[in-house]
Amino acid sequence: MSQHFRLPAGGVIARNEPLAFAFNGRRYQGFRGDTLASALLANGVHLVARSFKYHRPRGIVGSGSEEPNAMVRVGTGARVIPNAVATTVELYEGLRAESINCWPSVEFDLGALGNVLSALLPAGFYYKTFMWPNRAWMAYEYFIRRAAGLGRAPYAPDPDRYEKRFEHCDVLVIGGGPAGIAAAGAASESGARVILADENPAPGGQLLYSEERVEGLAAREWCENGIRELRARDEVRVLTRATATGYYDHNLVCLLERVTDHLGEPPARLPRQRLWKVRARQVIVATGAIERMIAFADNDTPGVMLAGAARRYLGQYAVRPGSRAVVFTNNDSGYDCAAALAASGVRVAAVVDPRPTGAAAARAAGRGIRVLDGCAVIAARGGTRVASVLAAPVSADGARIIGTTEELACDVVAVSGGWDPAVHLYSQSGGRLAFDGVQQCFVPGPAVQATSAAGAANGAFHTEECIAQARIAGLAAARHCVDPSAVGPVAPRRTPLAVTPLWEAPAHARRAKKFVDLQSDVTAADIALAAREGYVAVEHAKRYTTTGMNTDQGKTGNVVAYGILARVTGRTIPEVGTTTFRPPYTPVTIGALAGREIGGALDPLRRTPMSDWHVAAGAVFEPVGLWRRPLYYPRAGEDMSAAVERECLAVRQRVGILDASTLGKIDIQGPDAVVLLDRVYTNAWDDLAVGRCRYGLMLREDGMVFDDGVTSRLGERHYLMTTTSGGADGVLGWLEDWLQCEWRDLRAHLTPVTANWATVNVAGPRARDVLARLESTIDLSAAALPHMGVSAGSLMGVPARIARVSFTGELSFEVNVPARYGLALWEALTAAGAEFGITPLGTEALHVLRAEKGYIAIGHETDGTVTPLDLGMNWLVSGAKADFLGKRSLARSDTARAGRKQLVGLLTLDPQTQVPEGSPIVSAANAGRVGRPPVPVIGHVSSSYMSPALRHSIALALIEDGRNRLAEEVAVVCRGKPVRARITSPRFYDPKGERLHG
Amino acid sequence: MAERLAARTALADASPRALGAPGAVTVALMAARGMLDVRLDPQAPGACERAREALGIALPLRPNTRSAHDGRAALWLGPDEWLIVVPDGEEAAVSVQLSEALAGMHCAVTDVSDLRAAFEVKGARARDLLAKGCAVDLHPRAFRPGELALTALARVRVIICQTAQDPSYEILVERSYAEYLWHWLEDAVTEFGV
Repeated sequence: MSQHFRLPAGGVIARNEPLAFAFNGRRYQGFRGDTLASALLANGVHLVARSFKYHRPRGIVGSGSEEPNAMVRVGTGARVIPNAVATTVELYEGLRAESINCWPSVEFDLGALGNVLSALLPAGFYYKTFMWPNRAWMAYEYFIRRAAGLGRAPYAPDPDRYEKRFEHCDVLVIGGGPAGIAAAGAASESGARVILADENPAPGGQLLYSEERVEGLAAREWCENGIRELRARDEVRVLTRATATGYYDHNLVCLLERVTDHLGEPPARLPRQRLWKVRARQVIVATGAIERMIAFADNDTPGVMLAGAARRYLGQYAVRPGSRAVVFTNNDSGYDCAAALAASGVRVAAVVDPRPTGAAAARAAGRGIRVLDGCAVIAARGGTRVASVLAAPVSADGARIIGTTEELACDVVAVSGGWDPAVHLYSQSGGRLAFDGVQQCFVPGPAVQATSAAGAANGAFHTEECIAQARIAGLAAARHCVDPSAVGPVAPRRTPLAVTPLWEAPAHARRAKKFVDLQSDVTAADIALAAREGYVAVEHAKRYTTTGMNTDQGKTGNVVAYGILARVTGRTIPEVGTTTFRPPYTPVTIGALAGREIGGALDPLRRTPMSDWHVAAGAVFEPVGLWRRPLYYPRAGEDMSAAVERECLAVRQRVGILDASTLGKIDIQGPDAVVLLDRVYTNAWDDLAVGRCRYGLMLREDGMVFDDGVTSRLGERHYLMTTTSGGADGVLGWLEDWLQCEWRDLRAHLTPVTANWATVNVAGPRARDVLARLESTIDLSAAALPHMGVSAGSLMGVPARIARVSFTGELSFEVNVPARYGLALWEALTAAGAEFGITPLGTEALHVLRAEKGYIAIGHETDGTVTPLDLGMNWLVSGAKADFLGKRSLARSDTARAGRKQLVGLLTLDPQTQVPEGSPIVSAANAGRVGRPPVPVIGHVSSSYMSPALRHSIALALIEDGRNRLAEEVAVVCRGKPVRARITSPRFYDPKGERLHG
Repeated sequence: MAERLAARTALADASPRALGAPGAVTVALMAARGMLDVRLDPQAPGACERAREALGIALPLRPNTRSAHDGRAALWLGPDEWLIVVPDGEEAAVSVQLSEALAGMHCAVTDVSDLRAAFEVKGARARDLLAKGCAVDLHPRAFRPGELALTALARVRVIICQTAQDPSYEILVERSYAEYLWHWLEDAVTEFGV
């Protein structure tokens, strides 16, 4: 393959490892060490993409993560990366990439019609145009959204593995250029734990290809020595391909490590990417600087690139970015590029410099390079590849053309508008920024966290200064870890890189497009328009024009935008200020953020000791908190309602068995345990005898019910509280809060013991018969163990506690054994119950059974606005107690008033119609108005089931003044239609509770 | 014929009991032990002395540490809370001894032998494995044998306790999460080879 633009020698590439790749279906060759961008340029390919909004042809502008233009789709099938940046995609054998945002091809794109229609698409166009007719926006939006945007994501699930991990260190150095290597070296001298993270495949930054000598060594040798030394130190970790994407509070920095992205087929064992959450005592930001563009007419033409990028292609990749170059610079760094181009055999047509002749220009002229001083490039020409530029003398402020235009033929334009320290992470840390008027850039100011900046990120653009400054920063950071009060010296900057501001070059054509943000297609005129329309605040101008809002976050254009905004509003750049730097610095895959918390591991999952049995029995599960509880156990051919009906009837007629291990359990011990119970429950506890249990309601201070459960008295000073399955942690926290903060005098200890016990509920008329089959020291007779009695002893050789509590209204035993015996107990009970037809029941049947009895369920009948009185449970609210949590709130005028929503039963007139839970209820008189709002709603359905025992649908509801409306007919609104129903008592089944005492 | 209920481990019957990459990191479910949760005011006169006599080990007063001796261990869980770990089957007797020794004091001794499962994680990459789900710094400079942390591993409440310099860690997790955490460890260990 050709690689016509590859230099015969040099570069940091493995020429003995040629790699074949395809771009837009055409086959090319590059070398190991190339990026997709450098390999394309080596093959003379500049046109790689179409732009976001106008679909203009676009080329490669940068050489790293600052790249605004060269977005491509990489990979095949489910491994497609839709918006990869070609300058950061490492080449691998067989890589396949395509241009995005174009159809049918990048050379001929129908979407470019948008460029012709661009007058309809000014800044903020979505607020102004496409407004008529009003309701057509939905249609316009469809086409606008299709036309805009980036690559398409694959539909198939992501096949790759992603991981996350935490890490800690004394000093985290972000960026592995000369400053980063020096800082990490100095910081680790004394043995500090240091992490050096660099986003490139190898650290070194510019030193990888720089011609300069550093401390007497060739630049690359200096940097290789430094890295070797670092890697040899025990407590130093050097991470490559790791981008610091976000800087958060307490020196938490996220690093995205691309572990296998550079390999075609990733090894199965390794994650594709790993997100590091690093907590560092000190952070040194050594992220270098990013060159910026100058806005001139058609500066987006492929072939126009940043001067530093052109140098990097020459030096690191041994690629000539073209054959004939024009350099356009407002600072001395552009001359280095011109020299490098000339040395590599690229013909330099001219260096165009708006400044008067200076020393650098004189040196270049001395080497035979033509310098057009006092001039600017005012336009690029060429369409899909630059063919020439127009240069003209400009006024000292760069605003006007003051002489004759000259056309310079060229196929590459290297632009330097100055350098911006990469202060993104420093700013995210909370650090202030200051404007450096000499270098025309924002530099780090006072830090807020334990952060410092060094090197080009700190505005030091000369290698030796970078290194000197970084060493001091590294030593200071390590010392700070030992002695936080230590203040280290800061190396002064000596030689600034003087920049004469030129944000926007003048142009002949009035409608010329001078791009500021290439990725969002924002022009200098857009910024001016925003300012004219009043969006002068930088954050407003950003949002109105979308400058800096694309995936590159405006790395090469934001400061240009601030400069233009300052000029058109007559302010200085510091007066304009910057927009907020937000994470992520570069895009982060969702996969890396999710890590392994996907699929079944999305949430932690809690199991009871009997979970295996339920699975084997074919149970259908439902989530309850983090638990999965059997919802029902279908038999062959049964649907949910058939299974639930069978389970319900088994309990009413014979016996059922329920895994109740998920119930929260809190062991309470101490002389004041009963006082605690008295204060947190609404009813009285001082008369509860040992061996007895009692049901209680817990209220918040606002008087609203938030949990319920049965508490047993196990000993003189010993109680066991049960809570709802989902409420266990909340109740424990609530009680501890009161004990530790408000009632410090109470002597009561709480110990959560939920998972220590396996809990099996055996319920139904034959429950005692089943339990009696198991050998036990516990007397199960009604006399020894009455309803709401509890007894401890031994059951089949293991310690057990049996309580007579019932949530079904049937004779019911709750058997507790240590968790390790739970499965064996369950199996023993099912075996012993076989002759009685024992039936496992799930939570749905349990709900039907409790609703038949009118028992409330927290979260159904309560929603944080319901008092015990609303529930008709005044009998549970002690009038005698001096106080309990929520008592005072029950006397508030609103909670005490008549007519509040009250718990009632509801029977539909048609016994087979079941109303959905949550359905609103309206008065019968308003039934005819359903569907024609507003209709006054008088309540809602809180529970609704088909009752197998009654052969009738039943519902519980909260209805205004419900208890005074018994027998009244109402209408339940079901999917917009009224369903007639009658208000009843909530106790549908065995209202006198005789079955409990069996 | 006194048939006794069979005990099961905290893991599903189908789960293996050990996994890992030899030479790098191994993970094993530890056998059941007796565990007692003890609540006691260490400032109460004689409290610590009486506890030590009954237990044979001192209740550690330094936060996040563990004392161990002769098969028994005491883990600091809070300013007035410890977890006592004894060989399987001894918990009932120890509970009685301790309760008697502390008679008359405001305290709570609760048998929690079935509340938690324990995993042993050890090997050169043990720290790298735990770092995937635990935000606590386990570096030898920050975390030493005999120290413990009440923290989250893979978003689940755990007690992580370093038991040997090698390093070796003991992870105590509420029994209901054991199977989940086991699967998490099984997955996390993939990278180190199996």
